[in-house]
Amino acid sequence: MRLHQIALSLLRPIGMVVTGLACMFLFLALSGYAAGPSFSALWVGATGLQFSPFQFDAFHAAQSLAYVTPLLFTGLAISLAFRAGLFNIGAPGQMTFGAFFCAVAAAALPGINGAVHIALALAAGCAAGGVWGWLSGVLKTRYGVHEVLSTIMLNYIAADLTTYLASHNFKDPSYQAPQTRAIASSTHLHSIAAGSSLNAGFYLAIFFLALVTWAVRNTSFGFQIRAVGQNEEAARASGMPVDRVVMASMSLSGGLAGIAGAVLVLGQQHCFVAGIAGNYGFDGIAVALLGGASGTGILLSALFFGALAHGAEYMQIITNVPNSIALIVQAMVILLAGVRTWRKKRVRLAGQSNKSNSDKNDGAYSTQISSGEEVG
Amino acid sequence: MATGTEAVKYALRMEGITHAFPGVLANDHIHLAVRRGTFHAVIGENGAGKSTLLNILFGKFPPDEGRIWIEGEEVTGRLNSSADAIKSGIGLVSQHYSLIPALTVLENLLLGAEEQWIIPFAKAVEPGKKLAEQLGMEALDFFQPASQLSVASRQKVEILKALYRGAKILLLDEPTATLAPSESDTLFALLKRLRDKGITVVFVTHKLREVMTHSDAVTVLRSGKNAGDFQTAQTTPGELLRAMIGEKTGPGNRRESSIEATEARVLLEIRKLSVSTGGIKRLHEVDLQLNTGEILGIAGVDGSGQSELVEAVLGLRKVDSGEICLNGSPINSMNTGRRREAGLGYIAEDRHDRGMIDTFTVAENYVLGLERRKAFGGGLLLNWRKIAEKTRTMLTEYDVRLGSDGALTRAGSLSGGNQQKLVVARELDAQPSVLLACQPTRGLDVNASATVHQRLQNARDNGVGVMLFSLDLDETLALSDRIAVLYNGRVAGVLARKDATSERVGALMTGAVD
Amino acid sequence: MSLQVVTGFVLAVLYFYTPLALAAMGGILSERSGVVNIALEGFMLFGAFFAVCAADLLHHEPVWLADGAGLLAAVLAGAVFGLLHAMFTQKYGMDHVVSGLGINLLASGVTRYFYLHLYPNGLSVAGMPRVFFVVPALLLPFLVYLFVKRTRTGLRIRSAGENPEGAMMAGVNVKSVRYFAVACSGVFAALGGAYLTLADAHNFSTDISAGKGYIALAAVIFGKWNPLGAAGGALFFGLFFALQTQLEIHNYKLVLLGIHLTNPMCLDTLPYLMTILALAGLVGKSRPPAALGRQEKGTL
Repeated sequence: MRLHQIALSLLRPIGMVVTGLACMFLFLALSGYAAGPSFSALWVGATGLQFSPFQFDAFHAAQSLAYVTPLLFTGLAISLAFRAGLFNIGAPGQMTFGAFFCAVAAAALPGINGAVHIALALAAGCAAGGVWGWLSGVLKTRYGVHEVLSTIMLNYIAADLTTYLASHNFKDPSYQAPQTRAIASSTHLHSIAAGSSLNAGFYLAIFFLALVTWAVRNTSFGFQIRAVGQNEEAARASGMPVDRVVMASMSLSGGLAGIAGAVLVLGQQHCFVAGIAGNYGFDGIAVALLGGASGTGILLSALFFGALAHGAEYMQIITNVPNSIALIVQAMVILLAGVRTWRKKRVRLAGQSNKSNSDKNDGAYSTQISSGEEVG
Repeated sequence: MATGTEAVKYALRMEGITHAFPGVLANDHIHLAVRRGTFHAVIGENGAGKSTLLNILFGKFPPDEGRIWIEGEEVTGRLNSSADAIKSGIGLVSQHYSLIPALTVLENLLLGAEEQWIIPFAKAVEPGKKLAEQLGMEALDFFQPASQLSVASRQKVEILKALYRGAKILLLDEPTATLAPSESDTLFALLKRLRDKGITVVFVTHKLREVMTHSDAVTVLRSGKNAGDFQTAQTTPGELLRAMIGEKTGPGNRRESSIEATEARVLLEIRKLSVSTGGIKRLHEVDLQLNTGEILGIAGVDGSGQSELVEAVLGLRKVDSGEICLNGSPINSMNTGRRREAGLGYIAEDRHDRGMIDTFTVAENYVLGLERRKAFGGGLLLNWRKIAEKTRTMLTEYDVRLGSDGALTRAGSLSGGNQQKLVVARELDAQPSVLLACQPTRGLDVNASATVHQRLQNARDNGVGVMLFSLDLDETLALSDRIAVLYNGRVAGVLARKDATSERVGALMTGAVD
Repeated sequence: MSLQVVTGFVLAVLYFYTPLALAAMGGILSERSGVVNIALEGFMLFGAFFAVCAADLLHHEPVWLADGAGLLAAVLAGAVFGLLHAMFTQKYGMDHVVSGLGINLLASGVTRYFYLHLYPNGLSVAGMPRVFFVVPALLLPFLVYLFVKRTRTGLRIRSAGENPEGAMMAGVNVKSVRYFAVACSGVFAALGGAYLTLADAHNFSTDISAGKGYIALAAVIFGKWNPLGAAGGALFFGLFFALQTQLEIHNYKLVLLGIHLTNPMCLDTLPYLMTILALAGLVGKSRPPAALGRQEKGTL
């Protein structure tokens, strides 16, 4: 890409971020908080940088990155599904499932080498999230259930089931709360900045971001994902197994969300607690919508939202502004991202689109049981 | 222009109607004058501008130029929505979209014409019933969902719906396209009864036989222009056909096949293939054979079953019965991917829908569907350098000149001709044994068309069997070695090149002969 | 079982049913007109918050006035955010799900922000008896049923959701029909939210809707997009939640394969599971309106 193209592609997300922050300013002004100190507290909390006198507080920067870590995974997961034309709002459930099975696997496999142990626990989390995503894929391709609806329901089911299991069969008896037994310290992801929650999971997130971005571009399967997402009809006509691609994309997306949960368990919580997924699953939607299709976009967008989350927390402590103002910024970004100014309307010549499949429903609850795969 | 007395004779007059779509002048100063209480046919080939004319009349979009009178009163500029058209006494029975399947017959009748906020269904059904009786539809159940009606009854309900709103002029868009012959007869009987009651009927069709038997007057359109007005009683099918398809230029880019007929073997064999959509049979026991080194042209008016045939062969559509064999082995149970691997190439009718992905680069489009081939990376990975290299070779070979981005140009930004060359190149470079070429030159200029034609003939000379689906009869006649004509989902005839005159094919296409 | 237990149980069911049914009726109107409504959750939350705010503002006035103001505030909030959802989806061509998620997030953020800002010590309102909501919630499904089935507007709403092109050709202004339907949907869902604060909790807590909007959507799907069916779905889900509470109180256990099936958490999954099965056509095919969620092209 040339320089002006890069600048142009940045214009839109920057506009979204600026509008979101302007909204925040408006809310602060409306409710009588001093905007200046609030924003400065937000900045310090988000970056750890203070200008007069110049000071760098590594704790805040590290804490922001600790927020960024799961956001990178969920944002990547949702973005990957977007690439395939799927709207995976099931990341919270997939993440919860991944966290639970990671914690169980880590606790159930004692006495092996630390690195192998960690890898197995991560794999368990990934597989569990993947299965949860795959379910939505099957429901979509085989039974025509739109993934948005199935994932909403599966989110609740995952939360309920894991809470039940964590308060019964896998409960740590020494605590009142529904949580599993603590995992061995050899399976902890090691801390990067002492005193903060930042851990090696961050490197893992960057690695996966690079890996997935590379694979989508450079493997034939990634190519199929993109083709299905951009033009399902063309992909089908060119002979791609569209249904299989859809199912695999949902599984991979769920798997990435599952790793987000696993990293939370291995890096921060060290056990499964009900509600461990927090808002990361939904926040990932904002990350993906702002970041778009590029890996760099996801990285910058996750950095923004992670820093915003910790910054807002710090701002609440310093200036008493409720940190939920970050949610408002996020909502604004989602809504702005949804406006389809970039999608050109295709002009159709009247009378030439008498296509036999024009009655096909491409809507949100469409029941597209595809014919291409099962012609018999 | 129209004087007072003259205008009153006409239920509908249109003068100088012009409408352009990007790149196409769909209606070029068209005039249409329909006398009150007559049965007026509007005929023309695909793309002649009939649908555009109907849509203008029904308020879908205003004409760029031109004036319209209804019952002698000028309504130019007042037909801005369907509601306006209905108010002016126009009713449209279109092939698509009009009845809402989930609503009952009565609800469909009332929709948009409800008088009270709380709809008195029991009372509202009375005028409908009376109207239905007049039309000989006593058996109609007004409280049945429209989805349960047969195609023929659905159409009658559409007519009823228009009359219920007080339509004086009834427009019908290819009303018999989906009807069986006996149903068509019933429909025309009904329409004649309406005409005798003073309703003016305008119908658009491809079928000359219907025009000759049923209409009072005919307006012929060709390429967006008027091509003659006739009184049915004073004309012949031949005259209409000539007006409709004009002087055919004959073989332009044609080259004889270099493969002797004796060496030919069967590549694609279709046996008793039947296909239906939504309960309507679209293909009836179609038998076709495609041999090595030939171009088999499939002629037929739009909607005769071409797209169903293509989709069935590709495995994009379920078939009711019949067998499809490629290179001697049945492919019915294969999915599209396997069929493509087995040697099926496909140039899609609408390249933006199926042929390519506008948002992808030229190189990406060039490997679309071929991404697992060894030549492009070996299955798992994609070797973009190799792909770009191959794409560049292809671009030179097909004389596609791009800007500095070369193979990385967004395909959507290419001209239509270059896009089509890209699709043709990809499909031919995959070395298929059978190529389904659908409208391969639609929207292309002369040079691009010539390139595509040449490539198709080269492929044929190399032994590829090409099945050419074109709505442009000139193209079909120019390229084909044999021509099969589809009419209403059946093979109306298969002609050898030497027997296939434009009259003969045109007559088969429009059902003017049996 | 004593009469007291039975009436207590029935009332518990109705208390769960009421907010779900109100929001579900909103969902019916919006979805039957062709607009996907994930935003029910946000509408509820806005309704809950603005109702309690208005009621608190007038807490020195007579109770009926404060309650009336609360209801009015909920209605207005619902209408405004409903129109917003309609505008996003119909005017700006936004994906219905993205718009809904955005509105939900906005609701969560805005209500939480202002609640913490305005009421750092919490608040409590006199509110009104639940019956003021329960009875209308029982009647509303029948009214909505008649409205959708027998009125001009209802017919047009259905036509817009099934086949907007056909409706347009019949002379219906599809856009304005949808604006109206989605605004109504906001109002009903917001009233469901008002129930939660004015009649149930008599105060506000962050995210008080707690997913009830999504459950209402599930009830709509479960009821096959029919008002009476959706009310049945709401009743069924209400029954379930009430049953959970009862089983928990009585410490009743049904254990299968080491899984405590009557545990509230296990039981809680059932409505969602049933909804998925309904969508998949395994418990009666649930057919959505044909044009639901479709991005309209051209000039609708």
